Amino acid sequence: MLQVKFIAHVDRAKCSGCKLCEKVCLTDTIKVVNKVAVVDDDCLGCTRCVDICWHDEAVVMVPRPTPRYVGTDVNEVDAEQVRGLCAQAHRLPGELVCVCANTSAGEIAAAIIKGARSFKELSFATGVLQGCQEFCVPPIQRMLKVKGVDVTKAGGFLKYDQTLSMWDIPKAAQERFEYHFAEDLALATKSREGGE
Amino acid sequence: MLKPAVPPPPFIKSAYGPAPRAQRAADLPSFASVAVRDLFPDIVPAIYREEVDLPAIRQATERALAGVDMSMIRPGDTVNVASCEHGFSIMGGRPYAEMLKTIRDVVRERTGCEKIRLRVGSWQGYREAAEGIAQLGLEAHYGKGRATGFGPTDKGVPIETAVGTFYGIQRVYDATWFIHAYYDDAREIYLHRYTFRPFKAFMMAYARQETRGLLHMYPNRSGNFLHKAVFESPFVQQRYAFTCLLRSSPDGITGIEANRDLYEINRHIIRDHLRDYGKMLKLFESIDECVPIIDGGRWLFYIPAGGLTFCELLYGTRDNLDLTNPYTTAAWDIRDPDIMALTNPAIRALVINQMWRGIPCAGITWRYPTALVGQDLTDMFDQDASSPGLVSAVMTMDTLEQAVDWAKQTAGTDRLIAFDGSFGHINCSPSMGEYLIRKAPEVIRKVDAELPKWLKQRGLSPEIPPPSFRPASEEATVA
Repeated sequence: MLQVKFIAHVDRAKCSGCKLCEKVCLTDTIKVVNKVAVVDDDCLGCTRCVDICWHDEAVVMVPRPTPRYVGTDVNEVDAEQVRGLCAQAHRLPGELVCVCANTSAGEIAAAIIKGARSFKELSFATGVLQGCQEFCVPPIQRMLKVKGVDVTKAGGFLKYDQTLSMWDIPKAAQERFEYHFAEDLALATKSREGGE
Repeated sequence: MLKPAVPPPPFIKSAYGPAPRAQRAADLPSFASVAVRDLFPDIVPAIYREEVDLPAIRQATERALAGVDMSMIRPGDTVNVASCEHGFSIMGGRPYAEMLKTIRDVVRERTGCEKIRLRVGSWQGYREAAEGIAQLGLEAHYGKGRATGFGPTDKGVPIETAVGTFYGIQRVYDATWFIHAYYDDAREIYLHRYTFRPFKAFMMAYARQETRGLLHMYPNRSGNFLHKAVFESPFVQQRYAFTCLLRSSPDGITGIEANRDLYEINRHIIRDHLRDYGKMLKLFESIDECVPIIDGGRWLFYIPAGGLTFCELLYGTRDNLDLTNPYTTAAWDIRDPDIMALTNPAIRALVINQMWRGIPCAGITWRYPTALVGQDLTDMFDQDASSPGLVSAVMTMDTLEQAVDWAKQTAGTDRLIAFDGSFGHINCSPSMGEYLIRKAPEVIRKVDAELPKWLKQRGLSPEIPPPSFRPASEEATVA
C-alpha cells in the first residue's frame, strides 16, 4: 500500500498555461483550463509537473490534508489467475516490479484482472509508474499485452512497445552473441518454475 | 601512508539536491586520507586531479583526435556530439566538459563543419542537462541553442537490430553524423560486468525509457549484447562517426581515447579496469565493517571514494568480475535465489550529508540504520516519489558531527569512509585508513592471481598491449 503525502499545487499568478505539465502527467491529474493549470485531487504526487515547470516555477508540492493510500489487495482476486497472468509475463507473483512504490507482479496482475487496462488505471490501482520507471515499464507492458492491450496506446508518454524478453530472442541472434546467453536463459527459465 | 584529508572535487549546484553543505566529511576532526597509488602503486596515474590540470585534458583530446579519420564529415553536414550528463559528475564535470569543448573545436577545424551540436542525455529530470550545460559553459562554447539536453521520454526513433526493435532518442541521431562522446568511470560494475561497457549508452542514455527498462530485465553477464546489437544496427552505423572517450583510473582522469573502432576501446577499458578498479573492488570487498558517509552532488549509488562508486561497496558481496557467477543485482529475468544477500552486511550504518533525490533508495535506508543531515534533506526525500517511506526509516540530525556520532554508536565501529566524489584518494577515519593499508597487499595478491582468468573470460590475454594514447613510461606491467 503506497502512502501519498503530497499533492501538486499551482500558483495561478505564475502559470503561463504552457501545458508542459499536462504532457508529463501520466495520470492526467493536471490540466490547463482557461490558460491556467488545475490539479485534480487524484494527483499521486510524482512531481514531474514541478520538475518541468522550471521556467515559470508555478507548480510546487504541498502536503495533503490527509495522506491518500493506493494499492490493490491481491487476495481479492483468484490466485490461479494471478499466477497465470504473471507466468505469461515471465514473472512470479511475489516478485518486485516497481522498486519505488514497492509493488509486486502479483498486485499488478490483480489490478489488471480487476479491470485496469492503461498506465493511468494501473497507477491509480497500485501506485506504479510514479517514480523512476527504470525497472517497471517492460514487465507492466508484458502483463497488459497478455490481456490484449496495445501498449503503444496505453496512455501518457510511454508509447513504445518494449516487451521483448529473453525468451523472444531469435535463435540465430542467441547463437551470434556470446557471453553465456543460453546458460542464462536456462537459469532464468528454471528460476521461474514453481515459486511464488 | 595515512595523510591529511583532501578536499573533494566541487560539484555542480542542482535542483535535485539540497543546498551544498558548508561542512564536508573531509572537514571532520581527525579525518584522514589514503592515496590509492600508495595502496596500489601500479594503478595508471592521472593526468587530471584538479581544475588547474584542465589544459592536459585539452591536449590529450587533441592528441587522441589527431589519429581519427574524420573524412566522412563534410563542411555542409550536421554533427551531433552525443554525451551524457553523468560525465558532469566525474571529478566535478570539468574534465568531461573540456573534452566536449575540444571535440567541437577540433572537428570544426579539421572538417570545416559549422553545424556541430552538443546533445546531453539525462537520467530522468528535465533540468539535469541544462544545469550542467549552463554551469560548465557548454552553451557559451557551442553557441546559443547548440548545446541542449534530451531525456528518456523525448521523441523516440525505432532502431531495427539483429535481436529486435529498440527505441533510441531521435535527437541523438538527427544529424548526418554523431560522435559518441563518452566516459568509462567505474559504476554499476555489477550490471555491465565489463562486457561492452562503452556501448551501454546505446541502450541507456541514448534510448527511450521503455528501452532502458528492458536492459534491466536481462541477466547482466549476458544481457549486455543488447547495446552491442543497437550499436551494430544499420541505423546507428550509418550515422556513427567515431568515439571520443574520457578514460579514468581510481587515481583520476588518465587520458582521452578516440577511435572509430569502439571494440578496441572496449578491450583497453577491460584491460585497465579489471586490473586497477579490480583492486579497488577487492579492497571494498575486504571491508568487514564500516559506516559510509554519503557526501556528494549526485545520486546515492554514483558517488565515488577513490574513484569507485558507493554501489560497488553496497553490492560487493559477490564476485562481479567473475563471469562464471550468473547472479548479481538488478537483472530481473533471472530470479535471484538469495536476493537479500546482495546488500553488503559490512555496512553497519549510513550517514547521508548530501545527495540527489530521484533514484529509489528507500530500501537501502530500511536495510541500514541511516542518519540524514539537515531537515532540508529530509524534506526533500519526503517529496521524492522514487523513495516513498524513506523518511519514516531514518534519523534526522542537525549537524554532520551529530550524525557521525550516532552512526558510530549504532554501528559499533569507528571505521568511516567518505563517498564524496574523490578520485586519487579515499577520505576516511584513521581506523579505516589503517585497515585499508593493512589489507592492500593481500588484495594485490588476489587480483594478480585472478586477473588472467577475468581477462580470459572476456576473450583477452594478459599480454594485450596498452592503449596507444598512454606513454609507455606511465604504463604498469600487467601481472
